[in-house]
Amino acid sequence: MKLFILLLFFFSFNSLAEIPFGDCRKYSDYFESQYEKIEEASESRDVSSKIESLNKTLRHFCGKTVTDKTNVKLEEYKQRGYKNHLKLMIEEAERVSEFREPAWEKSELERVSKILKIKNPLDEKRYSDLKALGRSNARKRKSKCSSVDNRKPPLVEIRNGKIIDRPRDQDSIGWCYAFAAADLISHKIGKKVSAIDVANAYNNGSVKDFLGFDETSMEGGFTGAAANTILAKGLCLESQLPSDDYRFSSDSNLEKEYQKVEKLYEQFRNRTSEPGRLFGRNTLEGRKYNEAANSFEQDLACNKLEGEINVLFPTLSTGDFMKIIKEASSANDLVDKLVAKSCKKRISNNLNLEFESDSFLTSTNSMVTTIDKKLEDGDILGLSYRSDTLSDLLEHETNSRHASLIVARKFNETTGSCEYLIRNSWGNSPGGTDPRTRSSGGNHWMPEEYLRQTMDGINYVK
Amino acid sequence: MLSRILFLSLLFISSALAEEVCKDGQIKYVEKQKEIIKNVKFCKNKNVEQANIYSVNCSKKECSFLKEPFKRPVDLRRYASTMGSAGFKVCRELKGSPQIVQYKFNSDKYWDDDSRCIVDKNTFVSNSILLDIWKDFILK
Repeated sequence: MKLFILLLFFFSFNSLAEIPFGDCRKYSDYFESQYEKIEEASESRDVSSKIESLNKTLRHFCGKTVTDKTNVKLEEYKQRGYKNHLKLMIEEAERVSEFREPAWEKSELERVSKILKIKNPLDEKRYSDLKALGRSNARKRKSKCSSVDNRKPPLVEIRNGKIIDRPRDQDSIGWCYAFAAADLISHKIGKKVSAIDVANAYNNGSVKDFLGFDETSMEGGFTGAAANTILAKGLCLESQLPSDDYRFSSDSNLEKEYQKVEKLYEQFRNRTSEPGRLFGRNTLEGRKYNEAANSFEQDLACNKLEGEINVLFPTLSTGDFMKIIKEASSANDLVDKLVAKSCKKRISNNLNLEFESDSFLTSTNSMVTTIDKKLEDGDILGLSYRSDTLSDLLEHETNSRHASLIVARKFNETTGSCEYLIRNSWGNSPGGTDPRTRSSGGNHWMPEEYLRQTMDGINYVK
Repeated sequence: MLSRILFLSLLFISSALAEEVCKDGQIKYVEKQKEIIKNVKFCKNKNVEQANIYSVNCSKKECSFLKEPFKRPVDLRRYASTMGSAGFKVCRELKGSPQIVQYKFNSDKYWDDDSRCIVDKNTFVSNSILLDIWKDFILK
């Protein structure tokens, strides 16, 4: 059986003639996955730097012999990648000339042609035509791409006349849409709206909620719908229900703390119940119940139970928490009630705000026109897109759906592109590393020609 | 002689280009629900608002933690790609402790934000720097 498994592993690792051991085997899943990604990417792109990186790691863990053997196939992918990169750059040069001069695409064609020692497949005459077309289109676009920056407090700090942006940080919790919705509303009302409250309101009544999912496992949503849901319910501020990761201790975060609250519910139920005769648990009664509940409350007050509930719900006392946990019917219900109590004094939608959403039924041209108009009107917009584009402007078909904001626009004189500032909810760390986005402080400048490819939809105030 | 002049020139040029500044300052964070302010000397890029910070022993990004990332590739597939910056995830996978902080040099008036990866008592580096150095060795 062991021999069979070893042979199976041997044949599953392409072109390897020696079975890897030790750390080489430990990282075999990594190697295999990177190898598959290179194989797939070589169908459209230059993969030489990815191969170089993979080889460095392969050589370190698996030795020269294994690396030399895998190189035979990787060299094939490298050459394929080069050729397909040339095709892609020609297509891109044609495409982007609708917006700007295809200078970057030309430099890529020259780079790869030099490596392959062939003539640049995009002839000078064609490039000249595309360059002239691109420049003409960029000139026309420039007149409609005036600089606009609609960031203002409470989203940012103004320091000596300069904008100091402080993007929110959703960390490990999949509520990007709620952070975007909260910022959209905060921008209008001038007060910081709780992103947690937006997520909680949006999740209530959802299918997952109905099926009894815990709050922290209800991830993903639509920004516009979330914004309208909370506007109908009434707004809760960050000061009442914080979503800020900074406030938690260094070894914790928003998701962990909510999960601890959900666990507290289980602990309470376990301590105030006993196993049933046949199955399940029966709630204790009378004195026994009171003693168990009081003991739990004491432990909570003395920080003997895990959880920073006073940070999650700063306006609630231990007494408030105990009253709520006794009434809650599930962990999810507990969170809902804690949120409701924290947000007792809700702000009404006095401005009659309502958000619209444009997505797959709306043309890209129409969405860009709306983005421009709204920015010129002083607004910001929600954006649904593929976050992998932040790491690589040409990556727009991966399953990396995400929600952020568009907050500013400017014309890039060097490239000739109209660019839009994407404000993310990943703190001030870059979401990606494509240098052309000039990522800084959690924000990214996205050229229009790439925004059009990556965006799935926009949200804006009616 | 000529090679010495060349070497010194290159050293001068590379120093000027790096534009790093290391000064005494303060770093603020929350620990056990209490806000802590530590006096510490740290480094960042000069003249950049909200620059990324790192410990003095990682000056010029030359500490051992940041060396040879190919020997410590990171697999982030268990994290959904849309949940949070990769910086936190990479830090955790490299057995560091990510932490959101505020910082300022003693000569500065305002606090700025960053998130750092704490490696040990003396070593930390901004998650942004970590991501930049590890970018070719991340599987997601």
